[in-house]
Amino acid sequence: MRLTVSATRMELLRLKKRLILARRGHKLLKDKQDELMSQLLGLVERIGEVRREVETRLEEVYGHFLSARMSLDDRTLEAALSFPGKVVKLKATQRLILNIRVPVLKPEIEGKIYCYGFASTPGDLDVALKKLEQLLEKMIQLAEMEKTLQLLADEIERTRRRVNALEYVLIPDLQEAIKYITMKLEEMERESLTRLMRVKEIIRGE
Amino acid sequence: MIEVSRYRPAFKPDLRYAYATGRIRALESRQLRRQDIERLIEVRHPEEAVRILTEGGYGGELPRLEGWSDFEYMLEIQQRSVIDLLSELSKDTSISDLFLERYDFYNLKVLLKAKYSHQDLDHLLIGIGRTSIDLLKKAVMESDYRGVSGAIKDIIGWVDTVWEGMLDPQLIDVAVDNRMYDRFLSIVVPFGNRFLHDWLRLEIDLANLRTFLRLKWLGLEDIMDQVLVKGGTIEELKFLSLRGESWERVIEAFRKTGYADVVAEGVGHLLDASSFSRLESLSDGLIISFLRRAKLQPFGIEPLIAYVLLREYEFKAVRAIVVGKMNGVADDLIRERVVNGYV
Repeated sequence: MRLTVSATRMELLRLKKRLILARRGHKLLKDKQDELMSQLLGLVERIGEVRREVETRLEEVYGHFLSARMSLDDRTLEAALSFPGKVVKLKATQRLILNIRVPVLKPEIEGKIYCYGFASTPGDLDVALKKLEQLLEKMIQLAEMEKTLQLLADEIERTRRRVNALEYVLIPDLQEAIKYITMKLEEMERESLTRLMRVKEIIRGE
Repeated sequence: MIEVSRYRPAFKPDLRYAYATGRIRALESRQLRRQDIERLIEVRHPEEAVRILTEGGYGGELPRLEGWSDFEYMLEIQQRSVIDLLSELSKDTSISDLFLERYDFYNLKVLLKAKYSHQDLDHLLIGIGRTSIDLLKKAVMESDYRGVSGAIKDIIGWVDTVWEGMLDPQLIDVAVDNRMYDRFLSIVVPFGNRFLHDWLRLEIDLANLRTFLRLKWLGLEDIMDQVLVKGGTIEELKFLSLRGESWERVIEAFRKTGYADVVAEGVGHLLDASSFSRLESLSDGLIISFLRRAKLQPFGIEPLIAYVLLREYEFKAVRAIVVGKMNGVADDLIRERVVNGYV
């Protein structure tokens, strides 16, 4: 027995109340864990779809960028892109999923993505930037979903630890302590009964 | 309109260039040939391509060339040596200045961007130009115009005036590119060399054609009048009148010009593959064909100019091959790109 308890009726009552509370907490946490798992699995599926789309489209962007790089030296290409005209600001707010704060990212995009002249740059740079621009919101959405996934996974981990602690440590310990006190009290009752019977015999014998 | 396929040089031999032409003819024999390009395309690793180039004299006296990562440095060394050769052999400083000033205009773009974006972009500057980088820096950062050309002073002044109202980085590149071509025309026209003038007009036409098709594809036709370069053989109005027209109409509009194949094939590939690579390699190919006509000139500045420009296209082809190899691009794709242009 891991709990150190005094074998009294008061203690027994207190422990029984704690056991009821622990069982209720366990059930609630278990339900929360199940719900979190179902949310997580749904999100994983959606992320899979979005990530596949983002990766396919990013591959196209890199292909066009590579094509531009093949016809321009690294310094000229860097110079062309060194002063971006497009500014992307991310406004981050929060929403609650089962009391977990997850981010909501809202991009505020202004300016032109084509920040270079056309006479001295290759056309595939336009194609790469156009496709990247079309992809930007999807990438931000993916970032938001992946952060949510990470937060949900952390919460599931924490909840599972609590559920396990209740299920495998606290509840068995309380049950054991209750059993110990009950047995101890029964033993004391039996002692007391035996004592009383012995006293009664002595009185009758006189 | 310049018909490259029927272009016949009507050059008068210029005996001042007898030695230069002889030297150029000797150097021409060392340029990369089709089989060299094929050999480069067929190597398995970019290191092998760089090794082949180094053996072929590309590395020069380069002490620190260790692998493919240094290949841009190798090309820069080559570029410098070609420009030095031009300065050495040219009897007309205005023409060698024309080639050097390209770097001034490039450096000017970098410095203007550094100034307005408050960044340090010194690592992007190229120290080949006619004007020293220090003088350009003083002109851009402190409005001290001593030692810089009037064209550069005009650009800096213009960008300084309009910047606050527009805050558009593209404005810097467009202003520099447009004035760069104005400056080149102001050198070439009084020089009175038909080949040089036609080359520049061909460059401007093809730059405008590519810009027009890019803007059309991007749906940015409203800025076309600001970005087109003046001085080509195709009237600016022709491009402006084609705004909003269908691709078929655009192809039709150029069908009877010397650019018909470039436009038809380039647009076809653009619509099929969303890529301008074919258009660009075809337009490079057209300029290369034009430059090769200089071989018909016995003596003159033309072979020298053509050699310098053809070497630059050679560097471009080498870059396409090595970058392609570095990034695992299929041999056929590299071949298609390089063969349309350089070979």
